[in-house]
Amino acid sequence: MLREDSPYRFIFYQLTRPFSYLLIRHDDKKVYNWLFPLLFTLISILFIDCFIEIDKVNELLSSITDFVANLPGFFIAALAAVATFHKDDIDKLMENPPKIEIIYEGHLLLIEMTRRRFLCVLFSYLTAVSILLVIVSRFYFATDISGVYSEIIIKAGAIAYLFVFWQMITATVLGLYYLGERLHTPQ
Amino acid sequence: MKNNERLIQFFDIQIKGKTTSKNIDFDISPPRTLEQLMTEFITLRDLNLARVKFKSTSKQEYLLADFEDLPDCWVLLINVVDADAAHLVTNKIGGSDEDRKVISLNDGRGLESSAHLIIYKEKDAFDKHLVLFERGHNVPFAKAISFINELLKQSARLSWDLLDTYKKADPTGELGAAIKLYCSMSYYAHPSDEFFEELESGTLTGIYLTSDCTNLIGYDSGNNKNLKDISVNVDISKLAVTVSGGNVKHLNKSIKDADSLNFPSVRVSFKDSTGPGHSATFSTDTGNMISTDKYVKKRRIEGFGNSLQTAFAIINDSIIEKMRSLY
Repeated sequence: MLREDSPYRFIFYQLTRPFSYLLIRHDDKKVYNWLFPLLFTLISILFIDCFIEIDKVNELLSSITDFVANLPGFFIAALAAVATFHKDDIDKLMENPPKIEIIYEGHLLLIEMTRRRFLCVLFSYLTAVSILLVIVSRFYFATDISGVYSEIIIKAGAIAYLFVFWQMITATVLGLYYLGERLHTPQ
Repeated sequence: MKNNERLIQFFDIQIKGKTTSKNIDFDISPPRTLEQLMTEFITLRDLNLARVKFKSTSKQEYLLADFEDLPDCWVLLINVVDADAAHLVTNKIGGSDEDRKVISLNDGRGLESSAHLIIYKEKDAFDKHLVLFERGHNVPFAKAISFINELLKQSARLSWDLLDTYKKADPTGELGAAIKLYCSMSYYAHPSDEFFEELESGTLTGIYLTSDCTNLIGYDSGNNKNLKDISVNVDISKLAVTVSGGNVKHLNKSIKDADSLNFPSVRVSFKDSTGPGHSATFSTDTGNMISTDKYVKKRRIEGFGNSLQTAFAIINDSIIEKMRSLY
């Protein structure tokens, strides 16, 4: 149960909303959110296994993190642009609209999404996940990983990192498609 | 009903917002205050629109016959004309067939009955207003509230095309889309002492904490139309009831539990000491009974000197004065 009159639950709801992109209901969502990222993660891990020494893995991930660290600013700028973009089409319901659950008048309500809401949810997610990825990975890289299980830990860390990274990249590409083309094509 | 006394019932009412949108099946914040709604009632009455037939074929017509705005309360006089009523027969005490008179009713002329209703302006901590209702033969409280709810809908309908008062932006945020709103009055009966006496001396057969499904995670009113409500069974074993200190205390404990768990209502069923079963649903915030006029607290007012009729054209001041003295 989640009601506005239970303050802690409502605070929890507010603080986790940037990740609500993952809860959007649509038939294609599992492809974007899970299938593609999983596929790219597998390819990346195979590549690492074949061509990169285990000692260099964290070095590679660290340099990717340097690149990711530049992204939150761009994502926030895109979010601000989408939130204030003035075009009638953006406020119409999408075709075969994805659905999302929101709190409305203290109750959970499943609504169909307009393009503006979809893009705002998407760029909120990208902003939050890029910030979290950078912070968590900085802590991870600062940790001294040695001992018998170090190889397993490094590989598990790489899989987790790369999965979130590819999930973010897939969502970014989807966002770029919407901003670059779909938004300017009438329904 | 005697001509020198009246029975007054005690209720709480609450104004809720509703929408015609199919996706939103829960109550929302009301678009108008009770004060604004009462002003709209006056307008409806002036336009001769404060009349309701619940079905087009019905031979009963409800009417807001009179309205008064007092400093601390609003007074409504609700009249019903019932063309389905049996023809009235009068006779003298000790009279013969020749003294008998029949007042014939027909489709256009029926038996008229009145009920006075006082709504206090002051709200309690739970946003509810106290209502005193004159219980008449032909105007039960449930019907009076249905009549008021029809007026509330009528008021909203008149506004939908002309004003934005009863409209709100669609929750999807879609450009130009709006949901149509209307107000609805729900009511809660103050339980009578007799009810608690019967409950205490009876045998509990069930206590359930109940809620609608809209608070259920993942509930989708579109896809889960077959789901009606959530019900949590309370332990009513003799040991549990004895530990609580009796049936009434066990019910009160369940109401407190329900309130802390955000369940809006508690349903109790029991058999009284003579055998018949009873059930009632309690609101967890005030502990009053939801949408019923059974087991309601009643008080008698009398001393009208045999002057009361079945119906009045305007508010009867002496009834109102005696009703107000009860609170």
